Amino acid sequence: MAMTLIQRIDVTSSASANYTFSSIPQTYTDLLLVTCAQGAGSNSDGNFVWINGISTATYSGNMLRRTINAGNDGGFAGSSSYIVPLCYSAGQTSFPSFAGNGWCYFPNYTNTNINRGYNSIAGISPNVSTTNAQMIIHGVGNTTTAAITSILYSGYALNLASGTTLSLYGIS
Amino acid sequence: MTTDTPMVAEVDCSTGIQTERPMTAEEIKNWEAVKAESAKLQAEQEAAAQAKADAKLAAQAKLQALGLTGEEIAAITE
Repeated sequence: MAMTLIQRIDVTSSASANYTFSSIPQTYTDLLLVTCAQGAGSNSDGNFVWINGISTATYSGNMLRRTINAGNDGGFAGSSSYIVPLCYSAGQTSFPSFAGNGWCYFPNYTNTNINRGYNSIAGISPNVSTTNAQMIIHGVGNTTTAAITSILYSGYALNLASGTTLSLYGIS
Repeated sequence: MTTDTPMVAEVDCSTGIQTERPMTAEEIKNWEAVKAESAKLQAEQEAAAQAKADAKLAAQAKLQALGLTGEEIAAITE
């Protein structure tokens, strides 16, 4: 197995919530997105991914979550547009020294015979007693069968803070 | 373009060139829908979790009233 860095985004200003990898090469078997992200604000709940510019309610997701106070533990089904695959909470204001880390894996991303699906593992643990220390495992599907040519990573309600890194790897 | 318009930074993987553009009207509309739905679902999840925690405390109080020790209650509820 070989893992090749396709592109890495180093966020150097806090001017945008949304970053897109476009013209993704179709020469690998799988894609891996690795994120180390902070939101430019108090919390950054619900960072998510859209593929191929699809922003309509054609997604589905299931999430297993563990939080530090166990108040929000459990499994949750997302609706068609509620996509929370990566680094749930990593607000720069609340956690100035911590980022939310996540991996999102896109297997078989060029196979047009199957719907697109991807899975993620994400976590943050600032060692404080808040619900914002948590671990999430997420499975997501979209109804499209088109090969993935672009991936948008969104900081949800907050711009991504300077220092955030998003790395897209090709697996072959 | 106003400063309030959400931006999308785009990196072309074939060239490595990064550009920035405002979100389209459709993207903004759907992004806002995601945020609204996310907030609604999160509130529902938190309410459900709180109700469950409240019920657990009530059940533990009833078990205590029946004479179970804290250790015994923990053994059957945790």
